[in-house]
Parts: sequence; C-alpha cells; structure tokens
Amino acid sequence: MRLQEHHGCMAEPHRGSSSARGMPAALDAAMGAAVLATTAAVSVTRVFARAVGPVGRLVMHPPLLHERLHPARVVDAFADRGQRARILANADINRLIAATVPPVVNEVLDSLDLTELVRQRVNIDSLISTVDIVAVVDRMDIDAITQQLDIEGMLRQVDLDAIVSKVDIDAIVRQVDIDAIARQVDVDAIVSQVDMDAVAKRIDVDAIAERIDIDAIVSRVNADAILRRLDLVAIAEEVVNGIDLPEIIRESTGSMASDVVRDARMQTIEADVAIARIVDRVIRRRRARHTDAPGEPESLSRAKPATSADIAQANPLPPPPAETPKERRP
Amino acid sequence: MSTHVDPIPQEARPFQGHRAGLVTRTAAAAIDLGIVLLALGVCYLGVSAFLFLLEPRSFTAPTPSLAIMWGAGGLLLTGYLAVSWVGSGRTYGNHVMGLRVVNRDGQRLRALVAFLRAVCYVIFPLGLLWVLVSGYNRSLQDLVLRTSVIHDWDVRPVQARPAPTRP
Repeated sequence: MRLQEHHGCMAEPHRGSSSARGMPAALDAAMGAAVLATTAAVSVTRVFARAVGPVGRLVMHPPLLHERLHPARVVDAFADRGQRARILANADINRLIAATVPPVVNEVLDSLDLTELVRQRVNIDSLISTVDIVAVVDRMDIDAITQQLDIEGMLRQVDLDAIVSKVDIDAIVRQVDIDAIARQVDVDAIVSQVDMDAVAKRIDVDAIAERIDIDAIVSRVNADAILRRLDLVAIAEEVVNGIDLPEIIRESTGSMASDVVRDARMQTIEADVAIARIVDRVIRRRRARHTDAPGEPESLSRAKPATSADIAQANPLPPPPAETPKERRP
Repeated sequence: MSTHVDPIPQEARPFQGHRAGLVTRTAAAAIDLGIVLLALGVCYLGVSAFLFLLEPRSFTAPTPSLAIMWGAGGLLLTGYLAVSWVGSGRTYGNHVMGLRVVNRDGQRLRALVAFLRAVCYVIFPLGLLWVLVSGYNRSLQDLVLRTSVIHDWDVRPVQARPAPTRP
C-alpha cells in the first residue's frame, strides 16, 4: 500500500510548498542551483570545445613534426592503458556483483510478494494482447509435443460423464443447420452401397406384422372411394364368364324341354360335322369347309368371341374353320 | 356401361355364326313342314266346320283335289316361311334348332328376297341337299339369293336393317 502511494506520488508530483513536499526548501534550492550551474557549464564547455576543436587537433597533430612525435601518440598510449585498466575493473566489478547481487536479490525477493505485486502493477490483459499467438503456435513443434504427451493417461483421468453432463446438447442441436447438411448428403450414393437383400433378411417381418393394428388401418380406409375406382361391372362380367353362370342358371331353372332342345341341337351339330367330314372324304375335298357366315351374327356381336381354348374345351368336334366371307365368296 | 351374360352354352359358342349343316337344317325344315301340315289340318277342320254350319243336313266332309291340297299347302308354306324370315329371321323350326336366316350382310332378309327364297324352297326343296357337297354349307337357294342359315342360339331377333344414309 505504501508502494502504491509512493508510486502515485512519483507519477504525479505535488505542486505545493516545501513543507508540503516533506523536504527542506534549502536543499531543493541548492539542487536547483546546481542543476542550473551544471547546465550552464555544459553549454559553455560545448561552445568552448567547438571553438578550440581545430586548435586541439593542430596541437595533437603538429604539421611539422614526425608522426611518432605527435602528442596524439602519447594520448593514445594513455588511452590504451586506461582501457586495460577499465576492463580489469569491469571484471572485478562483475565478480563482485556476481558474488553480492544474487544473495541480495534473493533476500529482496523473499521479502516481496511478487504475485501480488505483479497482479497490482502489471496490466496482464494489455500485455497478452500484444502477444502474437499465431506466431507462437507456428514456432511450436506440435508433433514433438504430441509424442511426448501421455494421451492415454490423460484420457483415463478425464471424466467424460461429467463433461457430457455439462454439455447443452439441445443448444448445440439448435445451432446445427440440418437442411444444409442434408443437401450435401448424396443419398443416391449411400443407397447404392446398401445391400438391401442383407437388410431385408435381417428384418423380422412377423414381429412387425404382429405390431401392426390392422383394424385401425382398415378403419381409416375410404372403402367407398376404392369401390368407385373399381370397374365392378367388368369384374362381375369376368367372374360370371369364369364360373359359367348361364350354365348354372340353366341347371337350376331349366326345364326338361330346354334340356331336350339343347341336346337335340348339339346332336344335330355333331351329325352335321360328321356327315360333312364323310362327304368331304368321299368327294376328296382337300380344303376344309368355310362355314363363316357373312356379317356379324347377333350372338357373336353380343358376347365375347370364343377362344380356341374354349372350343377345345367345349366340344371334341373340330372347330369350324375361321375365314372371312370376303375371302371365300366366289 | 352394361354387362352381358352370354346365355349360350359354352360348348355351342364356337358354332355361333357359322352356317348349319344338312341335318340341322333338315330337322328345322321337318318341324316347319309339320307345322304347316298341322295348319292345313286346322284349316281343313275350319272349312269343314264352316260348311257344316251352312248346311248341317247335307254336310259331307270336303274332299279337295290333290292340286288344291298342294296349292293350299304351297301357299301356306310360302307365306309362313316368308313372313317368319322377314319378321324374326327364323321360322319355328329354325327357332327350335337354333338357326337364323340372314342375307349376305348378316342381316334380316328383305321381303322380296324372303318371298323368292320361300318360293324356291316350296318348288324345289331338294335344293337343300346341295348343303352336302357345298364347301360353304349352302343350298342352291342360298347360292342363288346369297343367303345363309347360321347357328344363332340367341333368342333375341336380328336387328332391323339400318336405313341407308344419304350423303
């Protein structure tokens, strides 16, 4: 505290009376006179030296004397001797300082609280701001430092749980631009590398199916919309043709007479085919009969034309040859 | 959109629209002949009843000559066939046997063609036998008048001939 007050006194001296300074006024006056006299003497000396400089050089180097006899040689000899004496004195002083200063400094340092002194006297922030951290880092051999570090030992001492518990994951996630990351992801390339077969084999479809609430899904289905999109008439027609509904109706409602008529018609057809075959064989007709009727018969125009499979299934008789009337008309 | 259930048995569908053979057509003709003979008998009974009502005491059963019998039978048969072919395209015999008479366009016959075809059949019924040797299952009458007798088990009549459109 005293140091700080003293330091402040030195930084900003008071401009009051001598008594206020704490020093005798006579001493200050004497020092002021001495300073003034010294300044004046220096000025006079400089003027005098400037004036007698050429004279001094002429005295030191007379033009008529040999150089060995110049007074400057004597002055140089004195200078050399003085320099040697000064060097010896410096060595003695250095030895003296080396012997006396360290103990003194140690004693002084022991008596001072350097940490507190630095904290009060030194502006650490301004000092650090002047340091070029980048240049320092560039000069560092990071590899060598890393090789000397015991990373595993350091990691063992790190309490990751404590660190993680202090991390605000939500804040980090909020700052992440998921859209930007997603735009940079090449999904096609990732998918192309995925073995979908292997993935599918690992999926437990049964377990997934058991967890599906079919009733809930069905309850959300708009059955009316689906039915409107279906061609129910075409489906019904296909079903009716598949099950041969007319045959079922005939069997359930047909009378004895209709069965007789139907059998009679089929028998006459069979007889026609048999007789035609015999006659064609007798008259050695090579070409098959062309029985296609002209135009579009009512029964064929209303029903789907029978396929060759239907013909083979319906009757063992040879099917009538198919040829358009225009081809066979003479 | 309308659906259609084909009433024709599956085994008969391949023959629909094809010309019928001799047996089927002969069977149909036999039925028609029987109907005409039955109608002749009814006519005879009718005439006899009419004569009986006129002179009950002196009534004797009429004994028409053979020419009258053939003439009346021919006329009745001609009229029956022509009217049936023009009307529904099939006689009762054709209806029973599932046949239909169509022209070269597959449609009902014109009245004149139907009449000429009926006359031809009454005058020369043996022309039907040409079906045996015809490569197209056609009788002589069919060849002359360009008609066909086809299998058509559908009970609905053939549509009427569309009216000719004038440009």
